[in-house]
Amino acid sequence: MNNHTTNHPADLADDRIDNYVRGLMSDSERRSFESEMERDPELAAEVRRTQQITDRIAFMARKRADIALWEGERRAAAAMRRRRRVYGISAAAMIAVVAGIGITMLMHRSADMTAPAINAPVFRGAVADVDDIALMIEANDYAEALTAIDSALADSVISDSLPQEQIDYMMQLQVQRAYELKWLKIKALLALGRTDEAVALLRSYSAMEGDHALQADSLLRQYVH
Amino acid sequence: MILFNFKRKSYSDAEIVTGHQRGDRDVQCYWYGKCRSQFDKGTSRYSHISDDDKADLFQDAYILLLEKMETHQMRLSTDGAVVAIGRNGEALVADLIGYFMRIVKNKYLEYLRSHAVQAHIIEAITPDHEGLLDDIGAGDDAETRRLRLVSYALRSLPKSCVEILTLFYYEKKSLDEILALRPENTSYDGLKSRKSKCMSNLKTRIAESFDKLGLS
Repeated sequence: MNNHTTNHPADLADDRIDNYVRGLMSDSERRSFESEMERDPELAAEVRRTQQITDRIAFMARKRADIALWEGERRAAAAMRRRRRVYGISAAAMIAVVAGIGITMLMHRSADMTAPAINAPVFRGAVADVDDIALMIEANDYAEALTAIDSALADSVISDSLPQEQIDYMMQLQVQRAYELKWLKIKALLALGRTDEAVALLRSYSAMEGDHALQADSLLRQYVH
Repeated sequence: MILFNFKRKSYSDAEIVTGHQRGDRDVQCYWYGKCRSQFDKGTSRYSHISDDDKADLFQDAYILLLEKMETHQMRLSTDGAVVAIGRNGEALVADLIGYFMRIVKNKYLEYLRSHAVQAHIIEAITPDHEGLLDDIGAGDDAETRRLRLVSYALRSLPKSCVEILTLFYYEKKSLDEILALRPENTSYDGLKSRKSKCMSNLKTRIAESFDKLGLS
């Protein structure tokens, strides 16, 4: 209810119709009004026209509310798609960067691990050669062992074309290999009775640092009183 | 809450019409998105219309199409095709999105005329009147035709009238509350008079249309 009053009959009639179609009448007012409509076809027609209009107004208002809701969701979905696109592109870029770094590192490492030059001795390492010769000595093939030892000691050539790091490494291996080969040579010489040669070798050998230093010193003292 | 999911399945025209007629929210949501996308694409070159008016154009065209579907002005034929009742009551087979865009184009032409856009610009746009728009076809019962007439008359009202009537009759706000919401209405009596005139104009237009079509 409002504080404004009107006495104009048309206004009063309109207000009553409005209150009826808007559901603002009390039960008794509504019943009374509906009885009046039954008696007054003009009133009933006017009420019907008003209700048709209000029904259509309600339909359009509901649709506009639906449109507003769907438009809001559509924009939210579009914004989410844009965010996902950005995330996807960022993730792909990160993966590409990581992959690129990984590939670059792999390429760098494989460049370091180049195959040795053809004219460089390809040996599996000092141990293998030494093992073969040690087996000869165990098999009492002393002469053959000596020949193999001399060949092995003479054959160790490291190519200058290799990277310095590799040269250094191979030289270390060579020194270790030579140390082992000389020890086997001493054994072979002693087994063949070539004691003088063995003792001469022992003198220089016992001065070298290595796993066999103590044994070499002991042998030297044994043969040199 | 309806989730606006672009991965939802697509619907055929027949499913869209029947879905709207039974109030299926998924179908309604899907169809809204499709119309909106097509509208944005199809009206990208529309000139002489502001963005706000373009938004109104979409709403008017979309609501009109919904009304046609929900009041069975569009329905399925016996072989499952979508048909629309035309100007002379003839059934027309409609491609739904194309039908919607034809409504949009005709609404745009109405807009141009009402905004006194130069005639040669309007003439350059070919109207599409076959069985479209607010045609009150002869093929339906009197009650359906009356409803369509009411809708047509309501859509032809000025926006301010529609706003006032919506606030008053749909949202059931009092005139004092509407006065507080609408600064352009400066007095209670002025607002009440405006509301009465809007309703009176509407009823007059409806009555004249009813008479013209013999629906009184």
